[in-house]
Amino acid sequence: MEVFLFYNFALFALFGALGLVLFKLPLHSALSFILCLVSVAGLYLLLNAKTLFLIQIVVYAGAIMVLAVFIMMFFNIKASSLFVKFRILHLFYLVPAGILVWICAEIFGAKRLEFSANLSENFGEIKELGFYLFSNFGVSFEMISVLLTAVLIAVVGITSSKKESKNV
Amino acid sequence: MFDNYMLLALILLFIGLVGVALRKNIFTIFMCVELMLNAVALIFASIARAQGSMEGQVIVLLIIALAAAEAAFGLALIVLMHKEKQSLDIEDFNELRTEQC
Repeated sequence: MEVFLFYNFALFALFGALGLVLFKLPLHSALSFILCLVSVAGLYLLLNAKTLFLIQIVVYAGAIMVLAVFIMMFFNIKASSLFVKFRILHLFYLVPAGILVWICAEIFGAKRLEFSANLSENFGEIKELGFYLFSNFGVSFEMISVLLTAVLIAVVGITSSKKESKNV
Repeated sequence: MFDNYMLLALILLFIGLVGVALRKNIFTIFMCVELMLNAVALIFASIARAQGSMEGQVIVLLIIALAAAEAAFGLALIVLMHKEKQSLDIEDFNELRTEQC
């Protein structure tokens, strides 16, 4: 059952990623990417990461991509395709990418990590995540807060500049 | 099973890399960068499951927060860039490439 679910989620994620790269209009790419994000959230659920499943759907697919789609609606975007004119020669671009995937898979596959069936009882619960985060990653947590505040101030500061007279 | 997750994450990473290199619209390039971040987060989550410790999942949480901050800032910059050039084609932003220094 787990293998069946994994292959389903993996196929949806792959089709979403291919749609992101291959569609002509960025809005279609955005919707395809949202499908990919929800599939990856399903994969997190298969990995016993319940909190990450929730956070991925609420934050990533529900806030970041919605923000991107809002900004996309403001502009009058012309359709642009991946290649100006598709030639068979362009398929040779996939060969180095495939070789790189194979090399990385060989390097990382040599470790032979396995999924063990005995996990701690609260693996992936939000309480365990919170304990681990605040015990071992406290400085990173505070730095992320500082980063978010800095980004907020920077965005407001950049987009609200006073009108300067430009020499046209 | 861990190998399956690793292979899927690597394929997603390289699809995102091909998208960043070959697409011309700024929004699509930005979303391909987010796809690469997601692929790396999937690798961390699967390593956390293999080791039985929560460290990988905490790192994924930090990656998601970082992606949110970067997305907000990147989209503001895209809006400003459009205001400068009225174009969303990455070929039009080539000041660093032409010899005008």
